[in-house]
Amino acid sequence: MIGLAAAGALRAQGVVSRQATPQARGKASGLPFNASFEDIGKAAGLKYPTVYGDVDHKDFIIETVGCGCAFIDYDNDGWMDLLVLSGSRVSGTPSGTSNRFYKNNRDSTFTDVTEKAGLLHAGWASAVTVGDYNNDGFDDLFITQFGQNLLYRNNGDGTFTDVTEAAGLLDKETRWGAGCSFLDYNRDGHLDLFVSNYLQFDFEHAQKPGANSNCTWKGIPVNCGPRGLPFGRHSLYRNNGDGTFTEVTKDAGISKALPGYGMTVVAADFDNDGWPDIYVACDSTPSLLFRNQHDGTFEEVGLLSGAALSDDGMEQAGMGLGIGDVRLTGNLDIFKTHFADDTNVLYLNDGKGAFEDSTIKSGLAVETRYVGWGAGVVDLDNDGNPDLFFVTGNVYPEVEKEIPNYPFKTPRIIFRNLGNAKFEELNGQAGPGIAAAHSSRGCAFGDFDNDGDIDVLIVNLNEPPSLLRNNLKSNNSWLKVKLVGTASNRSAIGARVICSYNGKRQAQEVMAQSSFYSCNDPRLHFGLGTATKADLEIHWPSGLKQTLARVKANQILTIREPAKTKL
Amino acid sequence: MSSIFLVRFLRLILISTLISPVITPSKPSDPEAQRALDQVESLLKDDSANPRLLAARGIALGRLGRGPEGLRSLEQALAISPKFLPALEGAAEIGYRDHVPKAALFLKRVLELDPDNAAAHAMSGSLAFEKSDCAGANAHFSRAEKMIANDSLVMAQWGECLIASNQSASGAERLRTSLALRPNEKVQYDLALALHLAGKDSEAIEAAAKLRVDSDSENLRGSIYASQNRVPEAIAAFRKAAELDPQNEQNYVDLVSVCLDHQSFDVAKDIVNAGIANLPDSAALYTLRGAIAAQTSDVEQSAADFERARRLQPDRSYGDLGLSLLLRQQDQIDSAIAVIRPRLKKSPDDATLNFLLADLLLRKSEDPGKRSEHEARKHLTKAITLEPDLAKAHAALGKLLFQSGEQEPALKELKRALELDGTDRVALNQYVLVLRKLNRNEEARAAARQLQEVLAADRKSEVEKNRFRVVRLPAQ
Repeated sequence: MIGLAAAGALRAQGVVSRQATPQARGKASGLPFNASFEDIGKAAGLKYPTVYGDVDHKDFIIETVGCGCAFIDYDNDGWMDLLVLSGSRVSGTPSGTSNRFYKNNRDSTFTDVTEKAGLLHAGWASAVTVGDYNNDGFDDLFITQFGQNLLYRNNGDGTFTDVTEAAGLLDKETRWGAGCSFLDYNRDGHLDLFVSNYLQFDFEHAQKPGANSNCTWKGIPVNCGPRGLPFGRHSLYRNNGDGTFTEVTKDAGISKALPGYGMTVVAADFDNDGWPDIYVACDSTPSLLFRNQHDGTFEEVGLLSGAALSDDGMEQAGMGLGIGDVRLTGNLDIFKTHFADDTNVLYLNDGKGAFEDSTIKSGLAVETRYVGWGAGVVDLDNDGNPDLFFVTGNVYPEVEKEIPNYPFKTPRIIFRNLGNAKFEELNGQAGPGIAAAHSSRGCAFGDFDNDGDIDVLIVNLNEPPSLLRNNLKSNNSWLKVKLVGTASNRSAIGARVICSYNGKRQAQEVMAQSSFYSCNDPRLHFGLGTATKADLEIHWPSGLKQTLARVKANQILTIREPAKTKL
Repeated sequence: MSSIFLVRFLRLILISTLISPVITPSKPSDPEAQRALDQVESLLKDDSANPRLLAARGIALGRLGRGPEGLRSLEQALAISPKFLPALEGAAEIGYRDHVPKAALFLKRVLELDPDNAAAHAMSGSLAFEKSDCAGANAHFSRAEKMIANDSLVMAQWGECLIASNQSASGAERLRTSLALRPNEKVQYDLALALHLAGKDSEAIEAAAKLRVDSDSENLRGSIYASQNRVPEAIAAFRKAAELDPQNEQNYVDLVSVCLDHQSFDVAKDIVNAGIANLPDSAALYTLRGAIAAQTSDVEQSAADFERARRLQPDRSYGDLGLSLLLRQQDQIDSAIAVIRPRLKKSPDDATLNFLLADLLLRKSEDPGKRSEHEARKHLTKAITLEPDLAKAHAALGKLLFQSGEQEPALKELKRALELDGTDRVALNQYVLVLRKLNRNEEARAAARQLQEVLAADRKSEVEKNRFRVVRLPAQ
């Protein structure tokens, strides 16, 4: 009886956590891990902090969620530039606060070009998606915010223009834009746009910490929500092909979905039918999977597909998403990060869009200490098996004073892929950049120095970003594939590449958002292990299938979508 | 709600001693019976083995209040003619009235010969009630409905048993009938309880308003208010119950439960401490304080309280269960298992302990097919054998079977879990996945819709629950 009373007590708090017990850790594999990460952010010139709420207390949920970042080659010089979003402060925006845009100097340093690029903006930014919505050859930016979202058109001369209104993307009301992703859902060659909205919030009516049961955590008064606050609504905008968009949320069946607290959005083909589906990580509510029905409409199948809840049917605090082919089956699996006292989840895809929660089987349930955010399925040591990486950080700075077990700043986590969907958490084996504690949120994966490994850009709340350089010491090979669409959208978003090497076969897809509110380097990175050559199979969004045999390893290969007749 | 059930069972025991239904009362000065006895005695002198005469003498003696003698005579008649119905009826009546253990046997034999005998059913129902066999009581009472309709005490018994059989709405009807025949404080309480359990809380409040103020009635009022989410009234009622009977630990437990439901750990702790001050040997209260400490990550205090509870009441599972849950929370699965194993050794037929150990073993298991998983399956199977209606065990076993690739057996277990508890999320979610795996897509869609409804209902209920936070009042 008493046990039941205690279990009941676990339920009421603003954010769900299953009070999951960590799985016992198995014996360490003892295998060396050759990637080592060093934070060179400061030395690289990434000096501006991501202001987001007060430092030592957060009275409102809007101060806690944070924002994302992106790798983008805005000037097409072959070197990845960086965008780091920022928030504000309830007491007033500190001087110098803005989203920050850094141009790559090609020597592991960056120059802040925010003002020059026309991207100075202070507000409560959330997420970013990158894609060439007008197919003019230059990647554009869409940024969600609390308030009005922003569409920046890349002018191709190093500057951007805010075209939100001209594009028909002005909202009539104040919304809290959350995840966002460009995608070509109708495969007409023009990038459409999906936007999740987190919840309905306004400062005037927001309750203070401790006001009700949704405003406490472990008995400590904290900012309220998300539970108890009205849900956000998600929106789909169709690209009209003339620089404008039309909202098709209702017609496309998006509004039929169970409402929830939507966060990161990923558009990818989960059921291998050649059409992009949409997955939305949802906080404290069932995550959503919109299956593309090939006729301009979607059906929400999260519960049916097994990708909405934990395997015991509980909602989880879905925040970040890593998407990749962890078993090398040619299917896209989903790794989703959650709150503390819960496991993150790994959903294995059977190729038909049905998922199996493999968290425990895969060895991921050993870690439940941290609030997880940005995540990636990325081959960090180029051994040919994609690993799992995620950043962490608590949302309640007040709590650690009362309960030291829940610090506000926490480390980055790597689970190395041992093969066969088995993972092992690395403990102090991946360098100081991993062990360092921050309250991180978004992160993006890319190769800023073009040296053939994956580096990581990380947003840290109220601190400058981290830029983790991967000092990989290994003879493993790699291959980067940069796709340029012609009949398909020029950014090739939605293109699938299957890379075969050493008897392995790995699928990756060009996506415009993943991790947490962030956008990765669009060049698909394949670690090849000892292979010196690889075969590529490219499925373009236009429907074209292209194959390339015996491609040499250790190069950045740009592939332009061929005309049909040339195949 | 635990207090409600406790009170209900206490009342079942208490009320059974007050009831004396349907049987003809004995009258030591009954002239008619005396005349009959005299005549029969005379006739028996010439025909001492006549079962009819022996039976008549027994019945007359019984009417005159000379039960043991009457029963002896009736048994003599039955020894000669075992199926002589009047003798059996007389023996049953005297046996029932005088609380003779053989009464149930006589009634059984009557009903074998005369299955529609309403009086025998009425008496059998009461005997079953006294033995806490409510299923039996309900079956018998329903076959004597007309006969007992004007008997307030038997109707009260029936009402009690219907409540205990989760038929509270029907129970409330019988209790209302009983009260209309004869007002009674205890039956009034039971009516309020039945209405509350039947979800008719407005009527329950009305019924409870007629009760005199004591700890039990305040506790019941608190429970009704709590289920209506009238948190301030619930708190006030539970507080009053504790004031009126500070030695009743259940009052503190219920009060704390409301606080915990609303994440008010500080107030919950104050209440438990007040309870412990009054009841320093209450294992339940120490366990509760340990659970609160665990929620606020005060591991040391939590472990100390669970240990104290274990020492105070070593024959109960409170402390051990709490300690194992704490250890589980602290990532010490092996230690949690070590706490449960000896407890299970002492009580191998405890379904909850079997389930709990299985749950821990599954958490420990790193890989399907490992030994701990086999053992978990064994304990889940045993838990189900011991308690076939344990939905959670069916759900866990179904999940385990599915993970092991045994889809059809998994489906069977999950289906059973859902029959027992259609809102069990583990079972529902796994059920969707198994059906999908078996390509039974339409059924999977239907189950997914059911899951969506459960999620929506849970969400609504949580919104209601979270409207209040219990706060600590400043010291006066």
